[in-house]
Amino acid sequence: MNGILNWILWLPIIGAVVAIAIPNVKDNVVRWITLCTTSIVLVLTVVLYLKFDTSTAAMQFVVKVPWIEQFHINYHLGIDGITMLMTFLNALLFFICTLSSWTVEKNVKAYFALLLMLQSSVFGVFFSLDFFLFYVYWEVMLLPMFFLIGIWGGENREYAAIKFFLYTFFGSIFMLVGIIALYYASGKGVDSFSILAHQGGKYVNETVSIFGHTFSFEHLFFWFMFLGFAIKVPVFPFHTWLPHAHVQAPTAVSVILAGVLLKMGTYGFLRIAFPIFPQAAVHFSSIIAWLGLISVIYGAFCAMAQDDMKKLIAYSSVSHMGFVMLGLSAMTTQGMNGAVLQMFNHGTSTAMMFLLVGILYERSHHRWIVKPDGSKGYGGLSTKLPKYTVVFIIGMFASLGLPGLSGFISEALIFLGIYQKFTTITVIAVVGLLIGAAYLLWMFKRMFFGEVNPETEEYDDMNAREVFYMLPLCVCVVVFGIFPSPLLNVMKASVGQLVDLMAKF
Amino acid sequence: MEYTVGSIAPIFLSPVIAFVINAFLGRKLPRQGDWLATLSIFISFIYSARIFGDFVFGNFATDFFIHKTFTWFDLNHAATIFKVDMGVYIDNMTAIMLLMVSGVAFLIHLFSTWYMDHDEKHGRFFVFLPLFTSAMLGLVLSDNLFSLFIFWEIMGFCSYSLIGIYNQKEKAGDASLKAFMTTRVGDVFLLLGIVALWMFLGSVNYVDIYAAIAEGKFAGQTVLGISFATFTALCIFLGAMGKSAQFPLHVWLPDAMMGPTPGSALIHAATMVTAGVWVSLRMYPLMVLGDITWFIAVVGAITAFGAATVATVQTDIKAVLAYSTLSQLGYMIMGVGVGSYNAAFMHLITHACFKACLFLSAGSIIHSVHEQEMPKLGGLRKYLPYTHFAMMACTLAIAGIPFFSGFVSKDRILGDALYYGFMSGQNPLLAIVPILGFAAAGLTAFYMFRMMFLTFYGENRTHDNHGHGHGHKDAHGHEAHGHEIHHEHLDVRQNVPLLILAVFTLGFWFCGTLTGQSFGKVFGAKTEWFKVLVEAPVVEKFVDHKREDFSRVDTREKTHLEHAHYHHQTGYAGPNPDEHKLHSAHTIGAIASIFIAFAGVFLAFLMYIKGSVKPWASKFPGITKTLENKYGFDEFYIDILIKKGLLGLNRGLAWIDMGIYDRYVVDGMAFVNRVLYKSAKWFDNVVVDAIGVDGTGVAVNLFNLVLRIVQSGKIQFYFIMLIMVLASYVWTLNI
Repeated sequence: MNGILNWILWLPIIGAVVAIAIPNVKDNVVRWITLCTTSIVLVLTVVLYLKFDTSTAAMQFVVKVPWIEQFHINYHLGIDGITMLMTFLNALLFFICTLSSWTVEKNVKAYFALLLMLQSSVFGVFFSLDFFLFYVYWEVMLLPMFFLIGIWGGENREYAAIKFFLYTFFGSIFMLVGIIALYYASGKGVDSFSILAHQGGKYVNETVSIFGHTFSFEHLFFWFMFLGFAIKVPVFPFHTWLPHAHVQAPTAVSVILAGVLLKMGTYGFLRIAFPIFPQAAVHFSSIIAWLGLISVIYGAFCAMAQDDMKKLIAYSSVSHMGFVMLGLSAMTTQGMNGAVLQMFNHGTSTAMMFLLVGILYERSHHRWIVKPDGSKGYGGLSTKLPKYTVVFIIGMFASLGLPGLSGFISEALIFLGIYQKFTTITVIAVVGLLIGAAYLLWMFKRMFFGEVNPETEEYDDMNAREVFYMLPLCVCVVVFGIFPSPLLNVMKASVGQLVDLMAKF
Repeated sequence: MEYTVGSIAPIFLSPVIAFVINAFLGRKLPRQGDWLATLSIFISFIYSARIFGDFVFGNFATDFFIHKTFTWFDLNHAATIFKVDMGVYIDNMTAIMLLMVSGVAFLIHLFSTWYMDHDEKHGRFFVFLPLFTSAMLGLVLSDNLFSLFIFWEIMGFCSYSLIGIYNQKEKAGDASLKAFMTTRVGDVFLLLGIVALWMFLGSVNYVDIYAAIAEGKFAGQTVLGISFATFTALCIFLGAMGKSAQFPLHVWLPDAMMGPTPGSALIHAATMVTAGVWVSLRMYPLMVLGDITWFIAVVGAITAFGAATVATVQTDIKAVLAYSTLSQLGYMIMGVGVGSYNAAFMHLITHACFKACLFLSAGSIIHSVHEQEMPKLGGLRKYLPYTHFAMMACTLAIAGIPFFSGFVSKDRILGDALYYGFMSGQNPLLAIVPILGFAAAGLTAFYMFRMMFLTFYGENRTHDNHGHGHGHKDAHGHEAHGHEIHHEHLDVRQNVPLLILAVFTLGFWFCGTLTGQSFGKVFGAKTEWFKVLVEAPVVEKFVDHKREDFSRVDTREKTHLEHAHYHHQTGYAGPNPDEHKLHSAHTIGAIASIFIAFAGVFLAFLMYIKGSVKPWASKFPGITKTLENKYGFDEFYIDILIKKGLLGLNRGLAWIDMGIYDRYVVDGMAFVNRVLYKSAKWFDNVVVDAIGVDGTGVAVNLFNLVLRIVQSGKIQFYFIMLIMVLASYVWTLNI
C-alpha cells in the first residue's frame, strides 16, 4: 500500500511520456491517454481516501528514500488529513479539466502532456515532506503553467504568463532563503531538510544577525515564508497577477489555477509557515487577519466593478481566499477547520464557475457581461440554456455561501473561529458576505434575465460531455453542503494537531 | 402520543422529497408533478395536525415541549470538543405555527394547481413551492439559531427563484435581486449575532440561550464597547427586519409581487416574512435583556404607518396587498416591541390566514379578468361571487371589524401599545408608537375598502380596456383581451381554498374555546386558549433543561406547573404591568380602534361608492406624489447608495488596482528589474567579457533564453529537457 503515493505522483508523468513518445499520434488518442491517466489517478485517490486512517494526525502512506545523501535530502512523501483533501481535489479537477479541454485544437499533444505534468507537480507539492523536494516541485509546477498560459492563452497571454512566473518566482526566492536558513539552523543534520522535523517551534529562541542588527530567527524567516506563500494565495497586496493570469489562461488552466494552485499557498501556511514558526505566526496573526480581511473586502469590491466574467470570478477568488486567511489567522479549531474546508469548497465551486465561463466562451467567443460599448454581452440566457442555468445557479450559490451548499459551512466555521480572536474584523468581514452575494447575483441578473439577445439565440445548451463533467462538481457541492462530515472527519485530527500546537504559543 | 423521528420528520421531509422528485423528474410526471407537491404538503399538514391536536387537546399546558437533538457534524480532536447539533423544539407556539404554515401552504398549493395551469412556468413553480414550504417548516421546527439561519437562507433562495420565475422580464430579475440582497443585509447581521452568541455560550440552542439569560451570564459582558446582549439582540433583530421587511429594509417586499400571485401569497402570508417575527418572538428574552424593545416598537410603528399611507394611493391590486402586508408586519413587530408577545404571535397567525386568502382572491381575479389595475376593474361582485365573499371576509378581518380575527389580534396589540406609550411611564416620546399604530388602523380600513369598492362594486370597467388596453401585458405575459368574463363556479381548486381560509377570518377561532371540556378542566374560567397557551418564554424554567437524542422514543415527564405562576409573563418582561391600567388601556384601545376602523370604512364608502367625497389625491398633489414615489426609498437606495456610492467605490478601487497599483507599482518593480538587467547585461558584455570571465550575466541570459524559446515556439525542446530532468530523478531514485 505504501507505493500508492508513488503511483499517484508518477502516473501522470508516465501518461505524458507515453503521449509524447508515440510518433504521429492522432489528437484523439492523446486525449484518451490523458483521460485514462487522470481517471486512474482519480480512482487511486478514492482508494487512498478509503484506506485513510482518520483517527490519527500522523503522516500516512509514507515513502522515504535517500536521494542526495551528502545533504540528507530524501525523496520523502506522505499525506495527512489536510493533504488527503487536496489530493482528492487535485485528482478530481484534473479529471474534469481533461474532459473540458477536449475542444482544444492547438498543439494537442503538448497541451495534454503539460497538463499531466502540472498535475504531477501539484501532487508533488502536496506529498513532499522534504524541503528540497517540496521546493523542486513548487518550482517545476511553474513551468507547465507558464507554457499553458503563454501558448494556449488569450490575446495578452505572454504578458500574463511572464507576470505569473516572475511574481511567483519572486516569492519562492524568499522561501528558498528561508529553507536554506532552516537547513543551517538545524545544524545540517540528518533531518535538516525534513519539513516535519522542523515543526513544533524549535527556533523560538534563535536569533539571527544581519548587518549588525539582531532579529528573532522566527520573526524574520516567518515573513520570508509568508511572502512565498502569500503571493501564491494570493493575499492583498500580492494579488494583481491573478486577474491577468485568469483572464488569459485557457479554461482548464484557470480551473486548476483557482482550484488547486491557490491552495498551495494556504497549504504552505498550514504545513510550513505556521508549524515551523508558531510563535511568529501567533505574534503576527492580527496582521495576517487584517490582510485576509482586506483581501475579502477589496476582492469583493473589485469583483463588483468588473465587466469581464472571468475577471469577476478571479477577483472573487481573491475574496474567498481571504476567508481562508481569516480562518487560518484565527488559529482556533473552528477557524482552521473552516479554512481547510473552505480550501476544498472554494476549489469545487470556483472550478464550477470557471468551467461555466469556459462553456459559454466556446459559444460566444467573448466574456463581456457588459460590452465595452455599453450594450449587454448576453441576455436571456436562462431561456435559451436551461441546463446551463441550473448548473450556474448551483455554482453561484455555492460560491456565495448559501446554506445547503458547500460554501456556507466553511464560511460559518471561519466566522466562528475568527470571532473568538478578532471581533472587529468579524464585524467588518460580514460586509464581504454581502458584497460576495451582490456581484454574483448582479452578474447573473445581467446575463440570464431579460429578452434573448439575437446572438444568444444561436447558442446550444450544454452537451452530454459538458453535463458529464459538471455533474461530479454539482454532487460535491450539494452533498458536502449537507453532509460535511466526510471531509471534516478526514482533516480534523491533522488540523487539531496544528491548533493544539498553535495554542501553546 | 409518542414522538419519534417518524412522527416529526415527515413534516419537513415530505415537501423536500417532493422538491427533489419534481426537480429531477417533474417534466416527465403528469401535470408536471403539481399534485405531488400538493400531496406532500398535505402529508405535512396531517402530521402537523397530530402535533397540534396533542398539544392543544392532549397536553393543555404552557410548559409542555418536545426537544430532540442529533449531531450534524463535529470537530472533536484530542481534548477539544466542538459539536454542531441540530434538533427539533416543539412547544405550543411551534405546534400552532406548524399547523398554520402547512395548512395555508396546502391551500396555496391547491390553488396554484388551478392558477398556474397552462402557464409555461408551471413545472418550475412546483419545484420551488414545496422547497419553500419545507424550509419554513424546518425553520419553525429548529431548536437553534444556526439551523434557523440555514432554513432562513434557503427560503431567501426560494423567494429569489419564485420572484424571478418569469425570467424573460428584466423587471423580474431586478425584483428578485433586490429581494435577495435587501434581505441579505439583515441576514449577515443575523449570522454575526449567531456567531457571537455561539462563541460566547458554546451553543445557539434556544433553551441554552434562555438558560444563560436566566443565569445572568450576559451581565457585564461587552463587545465593541456596547453591551453584549444589546449587540446580539440588535444583530438578530436586524436579520428579522430584513426578512420581515421592516423599515428601512422594506423595499424588497412590494417588488416581490413580480412572481406569480400564489407565490406572493406564500411569501407574504405563511412563510418568509413571518420568519422575522418568529425569530423576534423566539429571541424575545434576549431583546428584553438587550433593552432594544423600544427600538423594535418604533421600527414596527413606522413600518405599520408608512406602508399604510403608501397603500392608499396604489392602483395595482397586488401592490395594495403588498403594502398592507408591510403594514401588518409592522403591527407584529410593534407587538413584539411593546411586550404584546401573545398578540403579536396571534396576529401572525390571523394575518397569515386572511392575507393568504386576499392574495389568492387577487389571483382569482387576475386569472379571471387578466387585469390587476383597479381603475380597470369594478363591478366584479356579479361575476366572481365566491371570490367576492372570501375577499370581503378577509377585508373585514384586516380592517379590524369586531368579530373578525384581525380585530382580536390587532386590537390587543393596539391596547398594549396604548399602555406602553401613555401609561407605563416610558419615555414620553414613545407615545409615537400607539399614535402611529392607531393611525395605521384607520388607514388600513380605508385602503382595504377602497380596494374592495374599486374592484367589486360600481360599474364594470373591464370592457373599456379594449381600446387603450391593447398591447398591455399582465403578469403572465398574456395579452389583455377585455373578453367576456365568465361567471365563476364553485371550483375545488379555484375558490374552495379561498372559502376555507375565509372561515378562519372569524374571530371566535382565536378567542374562544376549542373544546370547552379540556380547557375547563385545566384552567377553569380562563377560556381563551390562544392567550393561555402562548406566552413569552420564561427563561428560568430552562436552566436544568434536558434534551433527548433524536433516535430515542421520548420519555417525557409532564409537569403541570401552576398556571398562575407563568401567567402574564411577569417577573421577567420588565416592570410588572399595572393590571388596572392595562385593562383600561385595552378598553380604550378597543373602543378607539372600532371607531377608527369604521371611520376608515365610511370614508372609503363616501369616496368610492357614494361619490359624495372626492378622492383626496387631487387635493394634495404633493403628498400623493410622495406616496406614489413610496417616499423615494427606491431612488435613494438604487440611484444614490448603490449606483453612485457602492458602484462608484468599486469602479474606483478596481481602477486603482489595475490602472495604478498593478501598472505602476508592480510593473514598475519589473521595470526597475529590467533596468538592472540591462545594465547587468551591459556590464556583462562590456566589462566582464572584456576581462574574460563569464559569470554574472548567466542568470540574466537564462531568462532571456526562456523568453526566446517561448516566443519562437520551440516548446518541444524545452519539453524534452524537462522530461530528461524528471527522468534523471527517477533514475537516481531507483523506484
